[in-house]
Amino acid sequence: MSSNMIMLKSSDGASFEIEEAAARKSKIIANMIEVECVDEDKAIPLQNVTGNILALVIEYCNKHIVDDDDDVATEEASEEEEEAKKKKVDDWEAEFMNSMSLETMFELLLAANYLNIKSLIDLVCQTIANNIKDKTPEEVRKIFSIENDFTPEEEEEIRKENAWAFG
Amino acid sequence: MAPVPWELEEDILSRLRPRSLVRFRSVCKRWNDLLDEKWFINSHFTRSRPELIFVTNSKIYSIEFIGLDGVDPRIEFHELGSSGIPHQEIKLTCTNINTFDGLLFLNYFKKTAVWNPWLRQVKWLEYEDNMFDVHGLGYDNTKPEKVYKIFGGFICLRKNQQVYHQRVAIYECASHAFKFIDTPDEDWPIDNAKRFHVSFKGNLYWISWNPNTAENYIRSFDFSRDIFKPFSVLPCRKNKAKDGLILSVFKGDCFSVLKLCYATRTIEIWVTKNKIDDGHQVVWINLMTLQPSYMPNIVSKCFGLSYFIYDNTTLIMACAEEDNGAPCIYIIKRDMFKKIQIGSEWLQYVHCVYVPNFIPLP
Repeated sequence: MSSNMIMLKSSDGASFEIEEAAARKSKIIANMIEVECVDEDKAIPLQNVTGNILALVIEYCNKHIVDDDDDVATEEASEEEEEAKKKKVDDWEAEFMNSMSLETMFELLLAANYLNIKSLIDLVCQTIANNIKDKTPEEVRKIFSIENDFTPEEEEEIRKENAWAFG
Repeated sequence: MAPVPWELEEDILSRLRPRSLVRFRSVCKRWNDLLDEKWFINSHFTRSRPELIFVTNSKIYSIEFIGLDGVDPRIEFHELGSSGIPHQEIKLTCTNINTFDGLLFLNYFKKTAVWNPWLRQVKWLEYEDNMFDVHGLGYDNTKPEKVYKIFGGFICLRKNQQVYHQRVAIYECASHAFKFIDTPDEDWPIDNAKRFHVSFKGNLYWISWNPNTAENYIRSFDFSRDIFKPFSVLPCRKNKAKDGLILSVFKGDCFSVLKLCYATRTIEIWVTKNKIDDGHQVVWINLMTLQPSYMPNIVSKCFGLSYFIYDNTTLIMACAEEDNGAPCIYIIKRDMFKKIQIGSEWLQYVHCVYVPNFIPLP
């Protein structure tokens, strides 16, 4: 498979070469390519994404482009093959997210949102949800940088009503 | 950490189980209010995963399933507290529990309630005649407002004979009036309607048996016209009394039937090809046939059987242990069999599959 390569440039000046097909996972970049505002010799500047996060995004896109191609090519693939393939992708995604700190996850989520990569937004949101499900309200406030806007009395009241969800 | 835009925060929250969301009510006002917003309730409900609810004669539990995609799934067991049901009511014996439009329908001796534990909302439906034996709940789905009707029966003395039989009746909650419903004959069996019915868009469905053709079929009660209707013949039949046939809702708007064949030790799952009310003729598809290494005997009808299908591949089932009646959870896939025993000390219990949500009571 021959394909065009394009260049992406992170906010801190790092350049990355990526297959066009992989870059098209991002709706924003796909749009730029469609309306031909991509100059072949110039890198696309991504002002909201740092190099270390962009590297993760590219790793994700590269992994998923192959799978999308397969979907088209092997319509008559058996159920078992489909299942095995899905499991392989799931395992890869689990491994990919597993090595990440919560802080990185949030940065990756913002990048996926900025670049409009729906499947990556889903993956990161689900992973964050799994991460915070057993946390206390205090811990969650810290994670989301949320200020507590209840009066102590209001907070006490809500906690009392829902005490059974703390066990 | 960098704050994320609102819509991403809500996306994350819509993936949490109600237990976490209820705990996070005290994070801030916005998060607390979110659980009352209709669009959030809907988007959360479509992502919510089924749990099992057990009601014993002293407590109520929810059982969550973790890691069903992996090789070693497990359960998480939580006591639901009273969450709206007064303690003295829990102490009564709950005769059956079922789901009803995303809510729980609890039937106690002479008392009936609809309940959303996650909102701590409960509504008791009063009916004055305490001889009324409640089977299920419904409403006329052609009207914009949901006005509840209770489906049940009275034990009546047969004319000119000293024998008792059951007469079907409807209690209309709006008018507080009972209405008798004619059945083709006096021995019309509606027992299954009480223990094993499925509620779908206001109407009740259950597996019945035609003594003339020996076929099993699904019968329904249509609350818009207050009549019985045949829904569909089943793709499988009961060969022996020990076999089990259980109807359930599949993927929100289809039906599934689980057949437990005691002689061949297999479990068949059949599902309807189309949505239930799309006007098509009902077509059944065999979703899976499992031959687990151990096969529970679900003939112990007094404890019932609840199940749901996860991801078209995994059967999750709750029923009683054959020898001592203790509840067991089974997680069965083609290449996996897991049995988890719970509540060995429970003497009496009822259970159902429930997709937890924040849908308010009407």
